[in-house]
This record gives sequence, C-alpha cells and structure tokens, in this order.
Amino acid sequence: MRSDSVFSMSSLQAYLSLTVLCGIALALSIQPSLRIAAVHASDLSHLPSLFHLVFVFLFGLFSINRGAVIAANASARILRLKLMFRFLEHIACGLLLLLPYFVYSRALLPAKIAGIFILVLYVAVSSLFFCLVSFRLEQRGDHRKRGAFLLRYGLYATFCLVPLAVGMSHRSLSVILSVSPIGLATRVIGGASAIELFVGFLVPSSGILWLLNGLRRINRRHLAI
Amino acid sequence: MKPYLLSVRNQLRSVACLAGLLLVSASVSAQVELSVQIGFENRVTPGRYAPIQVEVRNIRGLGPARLQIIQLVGNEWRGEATMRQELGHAIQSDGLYEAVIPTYDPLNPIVVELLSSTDTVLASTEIDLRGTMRPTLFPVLDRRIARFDDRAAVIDVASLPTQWWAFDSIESLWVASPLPGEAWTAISQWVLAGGSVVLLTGTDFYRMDSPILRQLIPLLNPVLTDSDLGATYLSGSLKEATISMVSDEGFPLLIQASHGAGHVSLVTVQAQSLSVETLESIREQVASSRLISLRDPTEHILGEQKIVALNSLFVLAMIAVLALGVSACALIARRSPRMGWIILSVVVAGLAVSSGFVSNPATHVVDLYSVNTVLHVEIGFGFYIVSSSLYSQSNDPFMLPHKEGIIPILFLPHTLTAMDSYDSSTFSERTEMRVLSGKMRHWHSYGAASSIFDVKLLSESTIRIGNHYALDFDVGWVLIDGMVHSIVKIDRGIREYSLIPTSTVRLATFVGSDAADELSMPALMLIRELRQSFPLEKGIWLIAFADEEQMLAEELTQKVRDITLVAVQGEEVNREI
Repeated sequence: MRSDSVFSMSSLQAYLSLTVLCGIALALSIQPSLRIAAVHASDLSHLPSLFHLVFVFLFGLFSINRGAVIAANASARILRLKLMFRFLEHIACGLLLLLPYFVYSRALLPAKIAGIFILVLYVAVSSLFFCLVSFRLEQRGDHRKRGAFLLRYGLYATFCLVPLAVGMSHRSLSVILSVSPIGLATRVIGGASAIELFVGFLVPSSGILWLLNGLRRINRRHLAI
Repeated sequence: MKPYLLSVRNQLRSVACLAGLLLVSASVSAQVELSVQIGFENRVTPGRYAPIQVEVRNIRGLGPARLQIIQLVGNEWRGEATMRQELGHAIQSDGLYEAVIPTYDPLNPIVVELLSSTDTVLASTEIDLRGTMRPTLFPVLDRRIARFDDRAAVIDVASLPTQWWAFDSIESLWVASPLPGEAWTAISQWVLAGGSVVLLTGTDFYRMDSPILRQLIPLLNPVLTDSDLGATYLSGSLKEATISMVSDEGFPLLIQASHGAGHVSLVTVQAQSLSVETLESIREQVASSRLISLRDPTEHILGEQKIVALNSLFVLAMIAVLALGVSACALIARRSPRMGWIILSVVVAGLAVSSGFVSNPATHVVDLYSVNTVLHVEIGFGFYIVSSSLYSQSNDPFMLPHKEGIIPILFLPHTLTAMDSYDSSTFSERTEMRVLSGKMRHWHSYGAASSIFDVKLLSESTIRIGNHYALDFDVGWVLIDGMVHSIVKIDRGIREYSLIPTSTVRLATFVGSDAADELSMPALMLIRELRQSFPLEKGIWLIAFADEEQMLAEELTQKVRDITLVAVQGEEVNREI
C-alpha cells in the first residue's frame, strides 16, 4: 500500500490526530452544566465557537501535511487530475470523519447552521489550496527536507496570523481578516458580509487556479524533456 | 383686459384668500394639546410607580391614538438607557386618561407623546420633575391636614388613584376625608401589601364611615366619646392594637395595628384639632410603608437552576469510537480498500445520526432562563405581586409577555454600562428588551385580584376549599393557629379535604426545615418571606403552591418557570355562627 493512501499508517496518524484534537476542542466548546448563579458570578465565559476555529486551523495543518506526503510519493510527471483526486480523497475522508462533530456542533451555534455549512465548504476549498502549496514546496525543496518543513508550516502560520493582525489593527482594514482562515471562521460565526465571504473564498480559489496552471507548465516541461 | 374678467379674477382672489384663512384657522384649532400630571403634586420617587394623568384636547377626527412615555435614564457618565412605555388606552376623544407608570430617573425630563396609528407624533410635551422629585418615599397628606412636613405632597384624596400600586412611592398616606369606595379598596390592598395609612377620624368618622374603613381601623364597635374637657374622640375595643400616643386629656390619641403586611394608624380626633407639633409627633410614631418584595427569593430560585448543557461524555465516546473505527478501517483496508471505505462510512453515519439525536437543539439550546414568582394574597381583598428574574445566553432582542395594562418596573443598576443595553419598550401586553449573554435582569409588577379562594374550616379534620383560580395547585398547606397540615393537591372547583392531625407540624419547624427536593425549596423560601410580613401563626390560612416549567420556542428559546404561591385567610364555620 502506498504511504500516501488514505488507509496507510502515516495517514492513520494524521486522521487520528485530527479526530482527537477536534474532539477535544468540541468537548471544550460545551458549556458545563452549572448553576446559573455560579455561571453569573464567574468571569469565565465559554466559547461555543472554539470547535469551529480549531477545526479550520487544524484542517489547514492536516492539508499541509497531506500535500507534503503526496508530494513525497508522487512522480514528477503525475497528472494534474490524478493529483487532485488524491488530495480530494484525503480532504473528503477528513471531513467525513468529522461529520458527527459538525452534526453535534449545530447545538453549540443553533442560529448559525448555514454558517457551519459555509465553513465546511471553505475548509474544503482552502484545504485543496494548502495541499497544492505544500505539494509545490515539497517538490521544490526535495533536497533540503528540514527547510521545506519549516517553510510549509511557517507560511501557513503567516497566512493565518498576518491578515488577522492587519484586519484587527484598524476598522477600515477589517475585510482583510477574511483572508486568514481563522479570521474568516470568526466572521462567518459572527455573521459575515457578502464581501467578506467573497474575499475569503477568492484567495484560496485563485491560489488553486494559479498553482494548477503552474503544474501544467511543469508537466509540459517534463514532457518536452 | 375686459372689465368682467377683472372682476372674476378679483372674486377668485378673495375666495382663495378666504379659503387660505379658513385652512390656517382650521389647522390652528385642530392642534392637539396634552397636559400631564405625574405623581402626587408632581412628587415622584425614582424606581417606583407613580400615577399619571394625561388630558387630551382637540383629538377629534384624528382616529385612534396612543400615549407613549419616554424616559431617559442616567447620563453620559453613568451610562444611558431609554425606557418607552405605551399606555394601553386607545384614544379617540378628548378626555382625561389615567395610568400608573414606573418612574426611573426624574432628573431627566419625561416626554409624553400622542402617537397616531401610523406612529406619527400628533402632540408631545415634556415634564420636568427635577424640582419636585423625592429621592426617598414621602408622605401624602389630605388637604384638610396642615402641611407639617416639607417632603409631603398635599392632595385632594377624593381623586386618589384606584390602582393600589400607584401608592408605591408613598411613605404614609394621611386620610381625613370621605373617600369613594374604589379608593378605599385601593388603600386596603396597598396596606395589605405593606403600605401605611393614617386615618384621622374624630367627629369626621361618620362622614368617612364605610365597611372597608371599619375593617381597617384597629377598633371594634367604634363610637364617638366626649372627654371631660369636651374633646370628641373615637373610642371602642382594641383589635390587637397598641396605643402609641395618649392625648393631654388622657384618652388614646394614636392607635396602631398591623394589617396584612402593612400598618394602620388611627388618630382618634379630627384633623383640624391637631397642631403642627402634634402632627409631627404622630409622624414620628407612624411606620413607613414597605411593600413586600420577592426579588431576593426569585433571584435565588433562578440562580439555583442548572444550565441546560450538552453531554461532554458523549463527545468523549465519539472520539473513542472514531479512533477505533479509523484504526479498524486502516487494518481492513490493507486487504480491501473498498471495504475500508464502506465500514468507515457506516461508522461515521451511525455516529452522525446518534449525535444528531443527542444534541437536538430544540431541547439543548436555551437562550433565556426566567423565573416568574407570583404571590397572591387574599385577606378580604386580594392583591398580587409578580417578581421576575431572567438570565440571558443570547445577545438578541426578545419579548416578554405580561398582563394587559400592567407596566413592569425594571431594576436598573446605578451604572448603565455601554456594553449592556438597558433600553426597553413596553406595549400593551409585552415588553421588548435585549440583555447581553451572561447578564441578569430583574423586574416586578403589581396587580389587584378578585376573590379566587374560599376557605372554610368545617371541623377539626375537614376543610372546604373553593379554588376559582385558573390553576390546579401541586401542593397546599392549611395553617390552623400555627400548626401546618399538608394537602397533596388542590384542584379547581369546590372540594372538601381531610386534615390528618397526626401529620401536623409547627410552622416554625416547617419553615426551618431544609428543602428535601428542588420543588419544595421555592415554596419554603416564599413561605419564609411571607411569614415575615403576615401573621401566619394566628387564625386559619391556606397556602397553595404551584410550580410549572415550560420551554417556549419563539424567536429565542426560553425556559420559563412560573411559581405561584397563594395565601388566603380562611374562616371557621362554627366561629361564624
């Protein structure tokens, strides 16, 4: 069995980590059944959207990891369609595993069920983008593994945190928040505007198109050689 | 131009001028006017109810209109809130419209608006009560009594409001004139709820005489008696009362007794014969009114409720099942990847369906928790107090239903933080507000109640209870001279109940006991509160208790707990004979 297939041992670790960590986040999102007086007196407030934020962040990490694993196992001449299928197989399996959590989490945000759907859709699109980014980085940095590893996760952290910091710095820049997966998740749960959703989806979608276009050129070069 | 054309033109001009003048005069005469009186001599106390009288003039032809009161609370430093209250009247003609409204912050002007059916402001007036407002309760005096206290409002008692909670800001009500029956009823209900009335009688007694006055005064068989020096005073046998002041001539001048939760002070001579100094000494003896408050027990009951929460253990179980499922699928998929996918799909689908059932939002999502405590007391007359506490888990606005014509009074903190909103809009049968998640609100309202219970002790072991309330009570207690007999259920209609002498317990022991279950805790708390105000150790009392909990799924899901406690003074058939 290929080490990048859904049921390989390395994939099993990734899926288990995703399931357990998202499950813990879901458990922490649940408000404890305390007396109202105790809840009112305490300054601690529970965060029902914690699961959704953690899910978006962890799924990004998971996609980066899958992209790198697929790149390590793929030949340089792999067809784009086949590559996309491998990515989508992992993304679909990851989302399928988390399906019981999504169903459960609608009781945490009962007024935001549409938001949960949008978030899952966004995660599917952005994961594909992260898989592709990770794949390209892994292919380019084949000779220096450690540097590629740091670059992958460093870029992901930058992608998550920089737009978040810029968007929060001034009200007029708030739309930039949607570029960050965590920022978009926060906005979707709070009630995102159409522009914010557009910006949020535009970045990974255009990234996918650009990266796929790049892959086509590489394939052509390989074929020419 | 031809001369006849000029003449027609001139005539048209004069007709147009006339029409213009008529229109202007018509619009001037149609100007709607409002004149408003709030409180007693415009005296009001913040956070208390006050009567309001609005006189509407020139409303003809403008269709049904509504009166709206807008009160601004606080300032920039304290934080601000706007309280809007619509009075229930549908105004179609000129007249005097009366209501009782909560007053929140009379340091700010109170705006009274007349609104059309399309919410257009037909007339508006602003009331400035800064000079007349009182920070604490104040006495209200009959105009026949000399003003002996600068804080006091002097009024014509014949025009007293007929809704007893209009007296909320009165420290003591001094009556020396005949009153209409409705006013006596309102005073009686107010005293039962904790008010304090001073009745100045003497030679005016027979002018003032009424069945309610006879119930109120702490004398049996009152008669006018002349003292040795010729002063005429009211005398009779005392009804569990104390003589608080004696006149210079030796006859009782001030007789006081408690009535329900309040106090009645009888001045045995007529008002005009009392000097300002004597009136001042009497005032020092008169107890201040203190209406029963259920805020603390209601807040406590709400605080004791548990938050409806999802089950964390189920999530842990889901994690375990998913982890095992994934591992098992990985093993199976080594031989057959297709089988791995099938098993994974089945496991996930099973878990998703069960998690859907376990986390049903209809039963697990509660946005608002509220407790409404209704205390209904009947001792000859009846009154009720509704005290409510609410805890919010949502930032969305919501609506509170209440009885028509009753405007609940909200407890506002001194600091109205900008983060939370204290604005509220009260309409005929509802109040709209918004409470930030994690915050509490409290409010109360009062009302008058007609006879709903008929309690007669037929023998030592049998009692007849006529329950005309629209509710079956879960449990009841019959108190006979301080001994408590339990009744399991009090259904609607007239029934006879057996009292088992062996199961009786002393009231002190009963209220001192710890609540055995969550249901009896509120009942015990309320009975303890009631015992502080009413003489439950004496005579026959029926205490009925009902506790209903329901989930209301409207815009926001509300978990509402309605607690009703009825206390009725009963009578013994043999004693009656």
